[in-house]
Amino acid sequence: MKSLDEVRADLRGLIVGQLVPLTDDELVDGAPLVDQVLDSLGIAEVAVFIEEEIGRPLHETEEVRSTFASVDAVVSFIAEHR
Amino acid sequence: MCGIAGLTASAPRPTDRPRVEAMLAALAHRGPDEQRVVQAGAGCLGTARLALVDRPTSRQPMADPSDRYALAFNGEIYNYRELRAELERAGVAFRTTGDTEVLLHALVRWGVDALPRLRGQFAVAFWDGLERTLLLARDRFGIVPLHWAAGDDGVAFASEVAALRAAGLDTPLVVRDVVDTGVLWGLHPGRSVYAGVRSVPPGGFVLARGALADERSYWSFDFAAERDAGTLDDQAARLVDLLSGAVARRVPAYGVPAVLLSGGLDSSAVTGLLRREVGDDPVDSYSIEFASAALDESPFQRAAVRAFGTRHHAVVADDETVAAALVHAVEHAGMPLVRTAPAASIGLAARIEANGTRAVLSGEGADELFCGYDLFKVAWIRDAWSRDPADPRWPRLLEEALAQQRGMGRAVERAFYEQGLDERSDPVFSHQNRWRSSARLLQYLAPDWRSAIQPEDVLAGVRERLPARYRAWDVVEQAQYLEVTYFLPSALLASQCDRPYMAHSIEARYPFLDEDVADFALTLPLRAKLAGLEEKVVLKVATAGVVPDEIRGRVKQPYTAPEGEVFRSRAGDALLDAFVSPAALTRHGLFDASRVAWLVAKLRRGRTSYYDDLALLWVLSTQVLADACGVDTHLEAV
Repeated sequence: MKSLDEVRADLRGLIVGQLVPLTDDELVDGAPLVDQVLDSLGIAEVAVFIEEEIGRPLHETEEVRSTFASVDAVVSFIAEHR
Repeated sequence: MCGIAGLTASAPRPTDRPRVEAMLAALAHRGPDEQRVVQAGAGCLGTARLALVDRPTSRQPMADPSDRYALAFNGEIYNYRELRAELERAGVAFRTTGDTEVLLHALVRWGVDALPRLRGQFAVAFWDGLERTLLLARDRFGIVPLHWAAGDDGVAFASEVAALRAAGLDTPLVVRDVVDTGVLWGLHPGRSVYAGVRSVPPGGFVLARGALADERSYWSFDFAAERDAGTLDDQAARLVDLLSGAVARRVPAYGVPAVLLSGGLDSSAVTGLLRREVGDDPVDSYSIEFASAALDESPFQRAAVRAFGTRHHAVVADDETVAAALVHAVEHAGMPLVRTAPAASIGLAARIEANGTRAVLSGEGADELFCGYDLFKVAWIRDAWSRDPADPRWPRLLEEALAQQRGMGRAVERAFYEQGLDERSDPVFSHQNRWRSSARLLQYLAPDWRSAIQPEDVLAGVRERLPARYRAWDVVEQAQYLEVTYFLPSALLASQCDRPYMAHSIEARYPFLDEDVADFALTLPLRAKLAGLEEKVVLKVATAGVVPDEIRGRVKQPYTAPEGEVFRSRAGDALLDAFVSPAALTRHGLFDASRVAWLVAKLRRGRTSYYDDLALLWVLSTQVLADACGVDTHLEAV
């Protein structure tokens, strides 16, 4: 199992590598992902990332803004549910 | 429809005539039949005329018998016979049988009070040589374009900004307005994307004396305080009656009537009513078939053709053809694009022109007036959801509403539309998701511009312009107002309709934007337009027996041309190299070359989002325009 630091690094790599035109320095872990960083496709990509990390599909009640609120929030969610 | 242009001053200038002739040359595509310039004292007016009504005698610009007044007029006045009769009763004698002279005398006799009495689509320049005043006016919804610029001593005006440049005006792009086109999918009323150039607002007029100009409205989009309390069947009967009249008024005096047929409810309704109006006479229908099965509506187009017996003509639009027409479409649009549909339109316009058709009826306007877009459903659901965020029914209903769209997963629908749910008091609540998502295109601006323009500033520009009455409306009707104010006149009527069709001398006419139809729509209660997830309720009832059930009952498909795929074609790849390569971006310094390169790389890797595609098109089309007219580089202009 990956460490949470590795999960964080992979998530950041996904976001800055494939989803938004930011450099690693420009992506702040506490920045509002849904509201300011990701578009709709980006949220979907992060949802897939989470599902791969926790090994199951997200429940309907988990597909909420707070799950995707920030890099920190995503990592915390994965830590809690994997 | 025509092109009009002119220059006014405090005294006649010998240089004005050749300048107006140059302006008309830049508008020749709008009016191939005759270009004519009239010097009326200190006013020099010109028209490039596409003759559709009263071809032999209504030469423009037209002066009144005293030669005090002169009129350059672009469009159609559908109630000119009624106005003429009234003017004749008042003693006016007419020399022609067309609408131009009626408009001239109406303005002479009634002044600006004539404007709310006009039924039609028009842009007007009316010069009073004695008072040296110029009146510029446009129809209610901004179907016909009219731009103007104040100079030292007078005003320059023209149907398209390219004509102002032909007169010698320097019109660099204003970045703030360029951003608005990308984020809001439209411009604030009265704005253009060019420094020093304004657009006469829809339903508005400008009175200018010298370089001083006063801008006012003669009509505003407003819902009736008291709504129609009749049954849905009664409302539908009234609507089909009004719509039939609107179609009849728009049948051209010459040639075979023609219609743009998408295969959806609105254009099919227009076609069906046109068939009823002309009996067994021939009707031409024109369609775009998309090579992409996901976008193509040709089975429904063929169903309409079978039902209405039209002589059908279609062009096939694929990624290559859309990419190949894109620069042409941007140049004619004269503003950045957020969708590629104008490039598909311009291909169809060429086909229509080649067939000898000069006027086509279109179903545009129905979605805005009768709540056809998914945006209205989403606004209604989010409004309810915001009042009870824990109720799971609302996100489920949202999922159902969006089930037809782009294969988005639940995570997207729920988390995406949950944004801003705690901001229900925001007057632009209905458009938060769209506009904030579009605002991500700001990240492609160069760092200085990025720092100078914040997304929330763009939305604040909308909020500060909203009328006082807006707060009293339902969230869905607020959304209707925003669509009619931003998307309809800019992205739809201008970029997707007037400019591409007039590029080939084709006049589009819009029965759903008829004054009587629109006035009636504004009296309807919301439930007659949107009932749960059913859109355009009253129109569906009204068109029973007019439109085949397979079309009337179909799931609405947004009219969309291929977007990101266009740039994966060979022609699209060449566009990327020509306009958004790092070397191309250095020409104007407006965009962040590394970020745009990241976006292009993402596109070439494969999957891009709707908003990625929008951003890339916006960047590219802005670059096309910047190449033609430059960029106002003053940050303080923001």
